[in-house]
Amino acid sequence: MSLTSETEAGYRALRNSVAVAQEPELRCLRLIGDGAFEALDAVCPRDLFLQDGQMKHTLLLDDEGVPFADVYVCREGENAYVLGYGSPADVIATWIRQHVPGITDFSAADLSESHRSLALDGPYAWELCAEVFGPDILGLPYLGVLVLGETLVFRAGRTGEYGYHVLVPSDEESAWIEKLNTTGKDFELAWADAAARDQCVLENFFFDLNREGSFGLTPLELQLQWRLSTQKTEYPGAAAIRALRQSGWNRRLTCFITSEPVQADEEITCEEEPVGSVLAAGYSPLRNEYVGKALLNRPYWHAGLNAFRVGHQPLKTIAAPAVKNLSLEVSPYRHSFHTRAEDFK
Amino acid sequence: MKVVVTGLGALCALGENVETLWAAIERGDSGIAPIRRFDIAPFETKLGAMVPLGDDYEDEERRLLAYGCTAASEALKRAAIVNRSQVALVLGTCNGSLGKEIHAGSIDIARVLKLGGPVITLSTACASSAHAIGFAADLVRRGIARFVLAGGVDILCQDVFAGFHSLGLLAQGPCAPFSIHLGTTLGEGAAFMLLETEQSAEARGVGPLVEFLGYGLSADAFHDTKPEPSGMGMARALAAALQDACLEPKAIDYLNAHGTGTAANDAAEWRAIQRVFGEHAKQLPVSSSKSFLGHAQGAAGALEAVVTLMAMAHQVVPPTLHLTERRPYSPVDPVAAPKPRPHVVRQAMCTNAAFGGANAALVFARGTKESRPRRAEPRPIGLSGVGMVHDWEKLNQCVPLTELRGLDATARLLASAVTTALVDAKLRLRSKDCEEIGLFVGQTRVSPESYKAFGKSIHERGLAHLSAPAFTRMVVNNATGVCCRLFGLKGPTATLSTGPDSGLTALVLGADHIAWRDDVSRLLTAAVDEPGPSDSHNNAAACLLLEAQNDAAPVSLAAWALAADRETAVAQALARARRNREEVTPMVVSGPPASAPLLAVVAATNAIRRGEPGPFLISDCGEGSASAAIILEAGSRR
Amino acid sequence: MSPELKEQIEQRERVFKRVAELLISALKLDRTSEEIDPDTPLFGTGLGLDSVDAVEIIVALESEFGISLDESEGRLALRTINSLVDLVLSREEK
Repeated sequence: MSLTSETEAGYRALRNSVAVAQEPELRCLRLIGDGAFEALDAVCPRDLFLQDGQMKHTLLLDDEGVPFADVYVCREGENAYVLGYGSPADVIATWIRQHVPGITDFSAADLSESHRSLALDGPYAWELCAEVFGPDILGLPYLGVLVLGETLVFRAGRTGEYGYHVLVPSDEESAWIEKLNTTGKDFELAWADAAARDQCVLENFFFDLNREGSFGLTPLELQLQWRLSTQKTEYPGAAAIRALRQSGWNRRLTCFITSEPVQADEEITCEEEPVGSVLAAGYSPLRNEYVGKALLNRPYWHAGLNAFRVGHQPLKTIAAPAVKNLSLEVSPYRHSFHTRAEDFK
Repeated sequence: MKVVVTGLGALCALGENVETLWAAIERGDSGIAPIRRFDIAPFETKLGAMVPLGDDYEDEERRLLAYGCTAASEALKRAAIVNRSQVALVLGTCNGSLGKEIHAGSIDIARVLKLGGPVITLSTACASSAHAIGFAADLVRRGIARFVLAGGVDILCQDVFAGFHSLGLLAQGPCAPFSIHLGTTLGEGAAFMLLETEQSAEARGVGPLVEFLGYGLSADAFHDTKPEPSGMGMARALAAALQDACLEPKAIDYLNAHGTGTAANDAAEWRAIQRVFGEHAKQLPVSSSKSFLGHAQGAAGALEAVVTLMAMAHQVVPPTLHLTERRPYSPVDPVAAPKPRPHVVRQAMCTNAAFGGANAALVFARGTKESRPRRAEPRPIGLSGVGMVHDWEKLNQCVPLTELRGLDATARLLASAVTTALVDAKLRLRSKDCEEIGLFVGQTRVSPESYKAFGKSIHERGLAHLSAPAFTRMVVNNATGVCCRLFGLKGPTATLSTGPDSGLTALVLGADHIAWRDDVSRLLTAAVDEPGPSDSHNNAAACLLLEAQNDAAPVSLAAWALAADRETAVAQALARARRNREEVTPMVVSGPPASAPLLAVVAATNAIRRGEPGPFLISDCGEGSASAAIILEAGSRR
Repeated sequence: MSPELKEQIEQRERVFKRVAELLISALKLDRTSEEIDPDTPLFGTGLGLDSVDAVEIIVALESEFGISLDESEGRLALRTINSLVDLVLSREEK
């Protein structure tokens, strides 16, 4: 029913102070060479045109228009990075090459060989990171990349809180972890396990390749049209997306809440008729109920409808995100973890 | 050769002249008070730093003229200038939302004060008069004018107040830079300094107040109104100023910051200062005069420079007022005091940052200094890229539509011409190459389309709810800033006007900039005129890429000149190119006001590329407030 | 489908279209309302709007729906089109 105490501790730190996690599943591919950005532009559904130090959230699609990787394309100087989740870096590199046979002047390196990824998320993640990694962190805008010696900092996250993916050289990982743990004591830092992080991703309705991403759905059905360019016509999966736009799509991911646990694949009904199914669900300590993602048929696919059931259990759709993120209220210009009592009297 | 300041003049919330201003600063007075000049009922903020007795003028133009003439006269008088025919004027101002041509005020001031030299107007929003001072010093260094009156003027009107309000930038209380209270207070005023060479001052028996050592410019290429948060953009300007001044960072004893009090500016600025000054930043007094003078917009740079120079004269550092509690990550020594504090100040830096991401820094020094030898010869300049707006779609092909959201017609035209020039030069947009390229633009006014939209939003929605995006387009340098952002141009940037043919002035100033400096080697120079509804877009903007290089270039800028009148400019250009009039072919292309001569430059460049050797003479129509002339030819004559 | 549910759905669709088209025109977005998903984040990621756009949205909400928002209400309501729809519907009820 509820989360384990370890998971809950990580969750609470993530939502209230700052949480850290190792992210072995995070892929990082670096492309260098004149053709690097051209190649990425050819295979990404989104317009790239990155400023130096900028990242954009996109997807890599197969020929059916289904995402097999949930990635950021990042630019730092003349280096391109593909950072995210899904297929391993070498598979992505091969796939890119297959799709741009005319572009050969770039090389790809898998950073998981040289670096380890630490994720820091939370309303005061910025403050802990500034103390541990240096004040340059404070000048890093959301969706920005920063190089600190051999360490790469990508400011992005999927929890709705301040978030950083910090890629440190592998042989420095334990030293950084120790530093984080030590400095983190003043920040009520906790380690967040995968369950805690996944729950935060779920609550903020960020795309999760392992959950709703495993049902063969396209960005149109996943509410991810924003990751597609309205201008580009040729990228892997474009034809499938175009066809689906033409014919129209009839089901969509929608956020829901319910009071008892539900499982993936459970049928959702409305007035006794089947109208969709549960794709993912999890207990939310902040709401003290269950939050989930459902795939609902048109026209039931709206938020704000209190008309559904799983079995006999009522289920209601809501506008995402399902939680109020404390990070929205915290300003690095004015606030500090150490003065939070006065800051939010 | 040293450039010195021999006269100062100022008019602002704390006084009608420099003495009154300084006495007020010594007392620790603040010029920030409730605004009475216009209705502030619709706004939560009621404060401004208004010129006392500035309320009673028939209209804004007269007020601007009065402010400018008062401060300029004071500077001329203090410098004991007798022969005003030799005085040039370089003036910074923002007041684009008045809808007029941006050089109109400067021309009026020059006329009233009977100044005979070239008149150039800089409009780079909040950094305008800092740019003006830097360019003015260059006019002295190049011998273009013996005396240059440099500074700025701006008035605070209700529209501008409403605009800043809509962006959420105004503080509730008086602005308190580097303190926990966020936001700025707007102000107004005028300030000028008289620049000449040390030799010239000695010959006249006038003692210099300080020496002007150098300046630096840069572009953030980040956002239309917010500074690049890492401070890297500002840091480039600070570093360029130190380089121009031939100084190490630790030689700076005091830094007068832009310090508006907003969260974004102060944070980025402190990071920039830390980047450039390193350990020295921990002991460097950094204070903001906006804490008592408000944000005088286009006049801020000059006004704050005047404060700095007065402080240097008295060997004190001016305070940052209203600083009760320091903001986290702000200067270590913000001079949080009610009055100026004694301090040895031999060298001082003034910094300013503007909407559109234009940054400027100035360096002054007291006492004689060994002048380091500057470049003895200018570097040769080649033209390596040309662009016009002949392909309206070119921009859409090179830049994703999502990036073009919010561009007004002027910005689109300029961006089209710049795209074409970069593509012609075989440069990739937003590449590492582009980071080192600057952009100077000749432009006479804000986009008429945007000006109308701004007025419409006020009319339809009221001042308290006017369109914030429309206000961001009310600075003349908006299009320049947009281009820097779109193409990743982070070198020196400026937007200026001399009236008709402003583009050629931009080109000549740009050529001078890169020929004589070491911190930048490539500069785009452009001009744009938004056409009327029935006019064609085709000639509305033009852009040239200038490149300083050591070898011969296929198209070479053999000579360039700037003067008060056309004949002089042409004669000087011919002399520098060692040509007679008969040897050159004038290239004239008719076109809209700012762009016409640049269209001629494009035509001449294309002719040379086709094999016509030239040389070609391009000059302006002679009706502007300054006149420029250039000679283009094939290769380089050795 | 029951008439109440039908009405609720139609109301949701109507308000969504109105809000989406309001944003598209006020912010000159390069998308149609069909190309904007209801739960698309407005700021930072998603549509990538910034604080200058936020001011425009608040003004547009006021002029189109008569809704006024203070700063903290704004932060919560301006997350996605769906959150704006919720806001409009909640104010309509009052």
